[in-house]
Amino acid sequence: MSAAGHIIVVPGQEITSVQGYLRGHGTYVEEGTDGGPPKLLACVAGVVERVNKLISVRPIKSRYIGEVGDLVVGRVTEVQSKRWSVEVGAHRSAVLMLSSVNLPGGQQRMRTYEDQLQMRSFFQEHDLISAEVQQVNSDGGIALHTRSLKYGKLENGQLVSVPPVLIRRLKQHVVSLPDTGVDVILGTNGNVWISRTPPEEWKGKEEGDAAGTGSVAPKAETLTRQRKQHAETVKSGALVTAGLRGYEQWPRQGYRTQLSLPPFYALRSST
Amino acid sequence: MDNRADFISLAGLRPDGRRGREIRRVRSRFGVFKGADGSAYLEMGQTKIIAIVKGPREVTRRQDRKYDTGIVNCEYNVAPFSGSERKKRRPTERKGMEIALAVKEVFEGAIMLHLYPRTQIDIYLHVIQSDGGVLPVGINAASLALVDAGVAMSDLVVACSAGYLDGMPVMDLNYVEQALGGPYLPVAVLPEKDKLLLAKMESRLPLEIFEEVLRAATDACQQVHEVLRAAVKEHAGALLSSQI
Repeated sequence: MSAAGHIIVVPGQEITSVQGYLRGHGTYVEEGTDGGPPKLLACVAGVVERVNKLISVRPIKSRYIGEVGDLVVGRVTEVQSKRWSVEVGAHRSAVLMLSSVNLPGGQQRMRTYEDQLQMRSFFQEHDLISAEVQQVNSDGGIALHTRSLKYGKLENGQLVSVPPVLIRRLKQHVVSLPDTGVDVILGTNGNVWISRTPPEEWKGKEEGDAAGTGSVAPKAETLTRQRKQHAETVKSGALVTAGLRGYEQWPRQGYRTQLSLPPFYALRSST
Repeated sequence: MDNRADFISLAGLRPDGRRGREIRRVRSRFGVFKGADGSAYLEMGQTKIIAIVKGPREVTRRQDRKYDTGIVNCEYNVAPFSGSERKKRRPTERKGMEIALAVKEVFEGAIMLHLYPRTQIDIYLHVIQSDGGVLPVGINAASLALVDAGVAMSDLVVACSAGYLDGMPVMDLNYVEQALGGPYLPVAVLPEKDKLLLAKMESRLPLEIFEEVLRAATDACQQVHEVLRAAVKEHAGALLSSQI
């Protein structure tokens, strides 16, 4: 029944028939049979969690459930009028409004019809972007924004998808691995973006021409074979098999001790 | 001579050695398919089915989208090598469509679809080996896959079949017993609530006997429920300990 003090329930199982509790996610109330008191039942398989009077069941596995302020990595699936729809692995596609992106040069103004026609110059279908959750509607719809230089199109790197439960919400979701020149964006929705740290000399350029599109690298940057290998190395390099365990400590301890890896250029010498 | 007379031996044993009120061995595995939100492999006796669940996700055909609830789709697929003779089946085959529709309707009654407005949930069933009772085993496999996907259901749906051989109700028919042409009644229930979601029979049966067979089928469902609930709990415990 319980593993290490946790109560595991399956759908339809009674949690309590005691009155005065609030039903949270993963539970529902059913009228008691034969005039008995109403019962609180589980509707997903998972662990019972209680906060004061609120009882909820955390499912063992689920799709991404958005919270305001989350950093997510998603893929643009559609360019509509005034909005992009972005696949982030939630129940429904997230929406990125044209009014929630930064315009080139960082100016603030109303979006015009011309801006609508230019939308594909920001993000096209199949582009990967990082964004922040601005709003979660009552029916679970997610609205995103990229109103910061941290967010925007992701290029020249490698995407690794893991189950969303493995990414806990942290202070820092953009991590620079020490001594390696590798940046990692830990999307709360389970998408992890691995790229190389932009060199110092790009710093000025980002804020100038590329700022609007949110592009991290200057347009001239292309992946050389070596660098592509480098990025893939990280992917294959036990990152996924380690289940991202202990990634919270990366900034402090260095990931190498965490994953007990050899220096990672050596990891993938073939290909 | 009635050749059905010797389908239950003098000792009360059926061709595969079970008694009348015994279900087949149930074995299950979760998370067999990595690309999906949930998946499960289930075998009951020699019938083996993989169920894959995708969703709840954005509706693929916009005209199907419903603004207050989610929708359920089911696709049913039989491997050419699953039966006694190798045979390629068309996806439009009537029997397969019927099974897919039955599964869809069963889960429309069990999934709490109001929690997933404007989304769709896809269930894919793949029959690897078929030895009777494909519909109930498929429903059970889909039920496990939905639990694995974390989809909210009011109860763990279970299904089993029953028939009537040699003047007695028998549970969970295999292919040989099903092919005799006697009554065959697959049933799906919400076991904790004692609610019937599906009962399907194509033969004619006196009412008293039908009631007896139906009772045998629902009893069989309770037996299946015991096994599946234990399997789900074990899986949940295993996943949980790997997450902490």
